[in-house]
Amino acid sequence: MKPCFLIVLNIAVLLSAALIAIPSHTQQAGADDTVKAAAPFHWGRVKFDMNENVPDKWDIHPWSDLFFIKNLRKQTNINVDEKWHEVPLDNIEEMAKFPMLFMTADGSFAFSEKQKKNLKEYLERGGFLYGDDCVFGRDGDHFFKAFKAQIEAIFGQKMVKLPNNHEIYHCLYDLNGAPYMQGQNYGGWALFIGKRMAVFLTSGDIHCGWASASQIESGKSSWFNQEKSRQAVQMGMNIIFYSMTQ
Amino acid sequence: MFSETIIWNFPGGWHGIISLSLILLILIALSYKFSLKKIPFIPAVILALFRISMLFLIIYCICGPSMQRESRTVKTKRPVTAIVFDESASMSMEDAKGKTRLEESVRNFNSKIAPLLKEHDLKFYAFSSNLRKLKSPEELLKPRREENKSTALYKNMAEWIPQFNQEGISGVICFSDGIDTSGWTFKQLTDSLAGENLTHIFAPAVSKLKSAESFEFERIESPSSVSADSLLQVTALARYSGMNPGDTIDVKLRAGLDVLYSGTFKVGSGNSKALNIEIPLKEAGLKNLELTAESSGRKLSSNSWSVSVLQKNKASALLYLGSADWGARFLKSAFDNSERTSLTIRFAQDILGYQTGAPVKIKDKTISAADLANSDLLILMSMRRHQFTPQMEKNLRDYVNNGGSILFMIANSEAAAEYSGTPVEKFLPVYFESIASKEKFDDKTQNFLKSMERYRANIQTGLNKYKKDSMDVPPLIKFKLPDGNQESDIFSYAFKDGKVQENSLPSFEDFALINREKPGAKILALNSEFTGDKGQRILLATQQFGKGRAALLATDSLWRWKLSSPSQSKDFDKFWESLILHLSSGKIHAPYWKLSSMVVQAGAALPIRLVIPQGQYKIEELQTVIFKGFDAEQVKLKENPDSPGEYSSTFTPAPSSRYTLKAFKGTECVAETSFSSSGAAPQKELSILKPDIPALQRLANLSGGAVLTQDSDKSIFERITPERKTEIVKREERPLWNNAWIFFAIFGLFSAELIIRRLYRLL
Repeated sequence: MKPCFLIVLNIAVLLSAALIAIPSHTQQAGADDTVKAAAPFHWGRVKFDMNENVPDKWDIHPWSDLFFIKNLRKQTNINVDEKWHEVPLDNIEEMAKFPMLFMTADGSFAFSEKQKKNLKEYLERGGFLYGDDCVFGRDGDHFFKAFKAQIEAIFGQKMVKLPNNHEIYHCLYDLNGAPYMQGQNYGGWALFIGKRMAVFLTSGDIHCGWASASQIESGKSSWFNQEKSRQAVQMGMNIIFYSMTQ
Repeated sequence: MFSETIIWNFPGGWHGIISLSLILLILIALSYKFSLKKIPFIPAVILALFRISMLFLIIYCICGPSMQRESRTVKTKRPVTAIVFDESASMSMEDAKGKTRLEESVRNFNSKIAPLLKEHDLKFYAFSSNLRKLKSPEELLKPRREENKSTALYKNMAEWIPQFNQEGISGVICFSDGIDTSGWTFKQLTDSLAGENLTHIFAPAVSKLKSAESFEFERIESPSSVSADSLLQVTALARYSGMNPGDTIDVKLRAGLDVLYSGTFKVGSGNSKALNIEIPLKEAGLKNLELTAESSGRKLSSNSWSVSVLQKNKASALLYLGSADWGARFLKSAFDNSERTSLTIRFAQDILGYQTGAPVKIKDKTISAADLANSDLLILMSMRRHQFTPQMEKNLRDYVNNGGSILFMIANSEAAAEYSGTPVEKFLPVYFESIASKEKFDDKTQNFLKSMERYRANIQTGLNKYKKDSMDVPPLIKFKLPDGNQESDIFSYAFKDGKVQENSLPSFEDFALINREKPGAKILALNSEFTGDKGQRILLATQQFGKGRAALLATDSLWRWKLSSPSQSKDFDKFWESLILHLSSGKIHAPYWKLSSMVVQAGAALPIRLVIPQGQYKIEELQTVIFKGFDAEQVKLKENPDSPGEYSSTFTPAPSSRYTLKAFKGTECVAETSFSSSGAAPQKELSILKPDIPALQRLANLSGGAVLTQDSDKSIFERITPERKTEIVKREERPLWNNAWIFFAIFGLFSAELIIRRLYRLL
């Protein structure tokens, strides 16, 4: 057969396969067309200034947050807005629109006095803060140490390391403690206000685990293996469910 | 009348078919243009046409076309109306002219009402103590009935409404003088109907008969045990006759020398008055209560009984989550900060929905019978209709009937509308609004519904996923307290110097539309910004249901209010603590006696019940005794098979006596109550003869009906004439593709192509 004919034939077969893959016109796209009983919550990424000049700052890899949110919506009916929002700590009214805030970067930082005051107020009102140390080719605990020190200074009490049998590691998926992607493996740490967990901190770059899971799903080469990436997503879901319902 | 439509399905729709057809046509053309062996033009075209035809037939089959035929037929139906006559003693007494009210009623029916009901199918009934069927109203005229038959109007209505609904009866015309001597109250009727309804038109029998002066508390409903620091609710039914309209009756409720309640009412045109008394009881112990009625210094009636006030532990609430909701976090925190309330959280099994993914370990956290038994209040939050099974509905009704209270929270008009007309709505104090057609609402409400629908549905598409600027969340809306109900203990925290501090009232993001409250429900909070046909929209309502309470909060869990308020503000915590304490006072965690009334008729068999909450004592461990003065008689109780934990017997009291019921474990008294009996049973039917028109009016209002008067127009009967036409829609679907000729055609075309190919040595 002539080569050009073969080329045309291949293109035609690929186009046909693509057409078949399009959802049927009688079906609705996605699984989000059911009535949601609970109102949606919004994902907030904390915006803050770094002390070090590092490539991975407060807004590193927003697409991995979105991938995680997408998974959360796909695997549960938790109603979460599929957008990523930046949240400055200088404005308590803005912060109060988010029941939980996420904070990550690779590098140390320090809050201003106003930011400390707002964060304390936010957490005492009932908000939840999750911090995760992002690691980029170094010993990878600068963010962890800075975060822990800042939080302990704000509240005048130490964060506590959670044992592997804590509810946060088992409320949805069973995990043997905080998953570890890279950096330092200090596990998961928490600060409680009364009986309520107000802050949770991980050192093992779970956020990049979400990014890795996204890469695996789209068929690209990933930073971590499938098992670790999956555990990172599961840990995220555990954190969300635990903080919502405990 | 019918219509036919062809439906089909292909990936990508029309675009998919056209694209595939073009690709196939190009492929076929190219295959013949570039074929290694050349054949003449015409056979090549024929081959191409065969190939094209065959492929189009295959595409046709893939589309799966089918013919859908929809036919509609309209059926008309004659309405069925029940005609009910009161044949009690008061209806059978002769007036000065020798005629009875019953004869007057039958005459009125035959001459004035029957001609207006020619298009109705009629069923005839009569009642006094019980309801019976009649062939025709003339049966009532001869022979004359006995004169001392009592009237159980409310009790019979509670029975005939569900029965008539089941039989397809569309309305009732009832001939009665409105006198009820059974002791049932209007509230008992509404509680037992629990939302079921049927339009009633009352034709009052009003001929004048003379009755003697009398006054008594015919019925006093009061729990025999309550928790300390809660409200004691007493409902008393006063029955009187022969008194002058405008006479003032002074009612007092005393505990020893302390007057706990003092009120007055004027004798009106009716012959009964229901009194609802709420008094706070703070200290534990046995309270001997006396209810008296006086007029112009003259004592008319006095009845006494006792109430055990029990020391209460923390009010325990059980939060049952239907969907994952941030409210649970904030509620838990509020309860953790409270010394008087505690919260346990449980999840519905499908709390995370049915999507694939999360291996749900929620089965460890579903609700158990022990959870329910140990809880004073069950909070149902963010639940969808499909999450209620029939068994759950039954368990909830039993839970409330046994003193448990329910708080149903729903903040979403779409989800709330699913409950309209369901068994769940029956034990709630409101009716939900249907939102199928939003055009009936005002513009503000329509806009709100549409915007919240979009907000909840989270339809987020497009490229702007990394939204860096501030986003819009719905503004918070404030509660408003109804006029005249400013002193509710739930909102006492928001009052300062007798004035409500508006800033302290709760705020919410989303709310469910309520159509109206049910008769007997109490509205505790309104929407400050949105109105319906009856004024501001209801947000919080409660109603007594059996021994417990049902409450509805038509908003979210108010967590955004908490997160928006300064951390020093305790308003959120105080609101929830007050609400939980208010709702949870019904459940008693110790054995208690249950009597239908604290005034009992001498000579009548009185049902007495001892309720032993789960986990308390076994009946075999207890000795149950009834005392009259120093005389004691053992009471043998049997378990009620329909109500586990409830043990009952009957007792016939002597006239004008005081009795005390006690249950002992060893020498310890674990449950106690006392009550008194009336004097010799009067000829009640003959002593209260004045028609009770206000009572008939209340009954008519309950059902959206009316009381006939001299000026009534015949259009009044349209209220019991429902829409008689019903439309039946029948749909049939017939596939068009799975015909034998299509397969033969495909086979034939393929065979013809092979033959021609062979002829031209292409094979």
